[in-house]
Amino acid sequence: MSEAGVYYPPETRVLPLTMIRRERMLPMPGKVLVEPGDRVQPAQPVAQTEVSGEVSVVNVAQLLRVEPARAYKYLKVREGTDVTMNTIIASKGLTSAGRVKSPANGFVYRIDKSTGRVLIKVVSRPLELVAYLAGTVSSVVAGRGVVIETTGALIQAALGIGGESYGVLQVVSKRATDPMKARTIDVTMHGAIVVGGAWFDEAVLQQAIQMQVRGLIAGSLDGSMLEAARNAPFPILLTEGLGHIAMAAPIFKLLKSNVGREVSISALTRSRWGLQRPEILIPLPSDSRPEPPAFGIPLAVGVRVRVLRGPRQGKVGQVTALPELPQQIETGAKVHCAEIDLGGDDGRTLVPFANLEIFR
Amino acid sequence: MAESTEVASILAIDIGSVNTQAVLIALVEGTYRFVARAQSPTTQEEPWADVAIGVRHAVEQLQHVSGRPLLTDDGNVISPEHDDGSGADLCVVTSSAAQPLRLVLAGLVGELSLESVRRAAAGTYSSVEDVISLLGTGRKSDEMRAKSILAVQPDVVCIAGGTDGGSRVPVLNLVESVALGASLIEPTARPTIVYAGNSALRARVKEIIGNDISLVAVEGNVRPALGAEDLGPLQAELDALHANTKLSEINGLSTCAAWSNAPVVSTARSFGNIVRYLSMIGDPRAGALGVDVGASNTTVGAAFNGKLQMTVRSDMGSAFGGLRLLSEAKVANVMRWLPFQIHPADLEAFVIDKELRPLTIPADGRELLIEQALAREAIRTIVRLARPSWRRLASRGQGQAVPLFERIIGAGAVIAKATRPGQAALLLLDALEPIGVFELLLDVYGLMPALGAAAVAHPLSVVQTIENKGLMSLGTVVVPTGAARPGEVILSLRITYEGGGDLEVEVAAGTLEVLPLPLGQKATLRLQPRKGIDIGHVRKSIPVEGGALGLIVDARGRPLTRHLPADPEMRRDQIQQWLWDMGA
Repeated sequence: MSEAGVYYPPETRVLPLTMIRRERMLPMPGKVLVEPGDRVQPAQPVAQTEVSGEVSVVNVAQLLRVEPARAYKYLKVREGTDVTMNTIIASKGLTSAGRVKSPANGFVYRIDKSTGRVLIKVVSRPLELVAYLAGTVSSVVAGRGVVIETTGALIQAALGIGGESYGVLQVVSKRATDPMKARTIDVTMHGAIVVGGAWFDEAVLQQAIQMQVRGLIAGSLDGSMLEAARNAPFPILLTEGLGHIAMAAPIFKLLKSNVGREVSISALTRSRWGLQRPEILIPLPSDSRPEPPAFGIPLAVGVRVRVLRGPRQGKVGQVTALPELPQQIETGAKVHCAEIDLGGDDGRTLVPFANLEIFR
Repeated sequence: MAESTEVASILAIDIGSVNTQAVLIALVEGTYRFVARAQSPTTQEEPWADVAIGVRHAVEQLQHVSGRPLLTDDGNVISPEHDDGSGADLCVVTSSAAQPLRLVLAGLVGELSLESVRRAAAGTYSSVEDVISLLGTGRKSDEMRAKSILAVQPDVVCIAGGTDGGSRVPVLNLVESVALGASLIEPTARPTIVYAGNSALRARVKEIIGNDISLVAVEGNVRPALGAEDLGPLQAELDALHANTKLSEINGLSTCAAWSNAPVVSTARSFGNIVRYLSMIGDPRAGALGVDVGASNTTVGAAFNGKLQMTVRSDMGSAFGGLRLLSEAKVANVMRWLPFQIHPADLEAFVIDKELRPLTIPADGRELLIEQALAREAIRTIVRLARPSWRRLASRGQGQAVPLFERIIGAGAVIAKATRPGQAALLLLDALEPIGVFELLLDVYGLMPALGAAAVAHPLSVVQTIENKGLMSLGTVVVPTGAARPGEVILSLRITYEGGGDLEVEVAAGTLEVLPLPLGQKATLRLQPRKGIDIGHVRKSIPVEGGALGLIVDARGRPLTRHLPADPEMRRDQIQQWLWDMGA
């Protein structure tokens, strides 16, 4: 045991075959459209609800020029009454000035007797929740949603831009270190989730938009491309982050081995208070149901790790030693480091604990 | 809880949004000292979703470093200390990992009360999502005010307005609007309404709000009279709401709370306790200023003779909130502190990557300087917010951009873990632009939250740990200010070292230098400013003690940014020169 004691780094998962379970829940109560055991496809609606519309506040007391506490006497509606635009909700006398009309289609949500106001909730709009993942409905939470499960490959990315998508996986780069080229995205990529090795430029993005791909996956992206990426009509997933970083070799290899398969991708990224990692899910048939490995592996010799920062960002290797004492790094800081064998030209290098993650 | 006199050891745990720290303070040879610290990633998020796991990891490490068993086999803190030396007598827990309270502020247009509420909120873990003010009594504005509450769905709506015995009808109209807005939200998600306005209206406010919405009527108007401001009661209510809602929502915190001998308190509040304490030692007329740049929050506490003003930005830290900082402080203002060129898009990419990997540390000098430049602007942003409150508390230094402080303390990894002391000193001087003569201290062991939390249960341990070098002194700083041409001599300075020897220096305007005064070396400092040059009303001869850097003389001028060359290349050269001057 080193002087640093036990250190538990964060983890990124790149699993060729594992059980995948995803909750699909409505933001508010609604109706679930499928049953446990049903097979579902990514685009298939599994639940639906109605999203409440706006609330219109009608100050009846003020409009009728009466004391707020007396306004309710002139009301022609009750809480829950359906109204359409111009339905008379209150009247006093026979003149049109003595009539108060509903400003919208909806229903009377609340009558506030003390202030003489009527609140009208405007008609709702429907919201449909799709399965996102091809699999089997394993359970249903009545009125809220479902859990869908499948066996398959799971790859966690670093940064996503956009929402969810699905399509056939296509790889257009030969190596993980190759930047994407616009000419490789041709008409055969229509509707596909397209994978490149390292990064891509504006020409690639425009070509992908023109060919109507459904998603782009690359190692990284130059910061100057962020704005264009945010405006893309499909999600973009970066496995390493921003900059010019090649895709981690094991991720590229796994994606390449699944070319032609249907994949689901989610670019939703949240870094705290409900962590959400962008992900690539590739449903695969399997006779077994391998549960994902448990979390909480301490940094130890032999563990596979990825470098998160610095010139070797994105490189994956194995811990070969954990020096007992803090080591001086390029900044001059003395911190606990692990010796990592990155293979090839990089060989063995010292990386601060803080700049490593478990990669499995 | 153990009696004060029986406490031989203290285990202090601080659960940050990124790292969890465990600190051991113990009675060594009859006096309390910092013994060891350890740190581990916070485990608030999935897949852990339980902060107690990260706390155990940190305490496990602390066991290794200190050689003292602190956890039972089933992972609970051993307390009190056993005869075999295992465990700790006192355990305290602080946290800055909770989400901030989302606030909507409501007040009357043209009244100072809205500004007072804003200042009160700024001293707590909160984010102001919207401000609604009473513009008139028209139907449209009434509806819009209510809808803005519906749109934001805040945790709390703070209402102020009217001095005691002052405005009635406009305040009640405002309360009606707020009540209406709150009633539009689903019952389970309705905000708490905190009323801190005209005290005479409390009963009527209660009637209007009704029983379906939670109301806290603060004991005291935030603006009881035109010239008076009373932020304390409102801040206390907001702190309590934060503790009871956001802090208690943290998964696993209840486990840690069960180990603690005192209620779990916010890191900022604990930090503030120590700043307040430091303001009460030494010259009672001079203040203490503490700056903590954490991963999620930036906190500044200024205290004058025991009166503390805290300012917290919960949306701006060293790891999170970088994009907001770039948008508020402007990219160019961050870039002005760098001795090299960087494309704005690369700076944006840098802060996004840091937010994705908040645990990471700079891998090279360039990354280190970018993090420090961001910290400078985060501090400058919060100081702009806080400064008006300091002027009211300070007994002297009125009219100065920054009141006089006797001690300035830097905390948070980006400052206290700067790789060279000169970097930390320069960061604080650039960001705060302090004036006069003061001591610069660093919380290198991350003790401030621990000591602040322990202060209530065991004040002696706090006093002794600080006296025993719990905070690292960088040295005394002299900042002469006043109109002068660059190169003109503005101050004559003589250091007479205890044990013999003198050093005489003529300080020229525009310079920054570090004079030799090693750590622990005592000396007498004689200062003779040129006419028109201010050194902050200190005596002409003062005893000083050396720090990690020495004696720093910052004669660059104030405001500092006016002395930065406009030409980008010359500015970068100037920044590099200052780094070299400070040995950074």
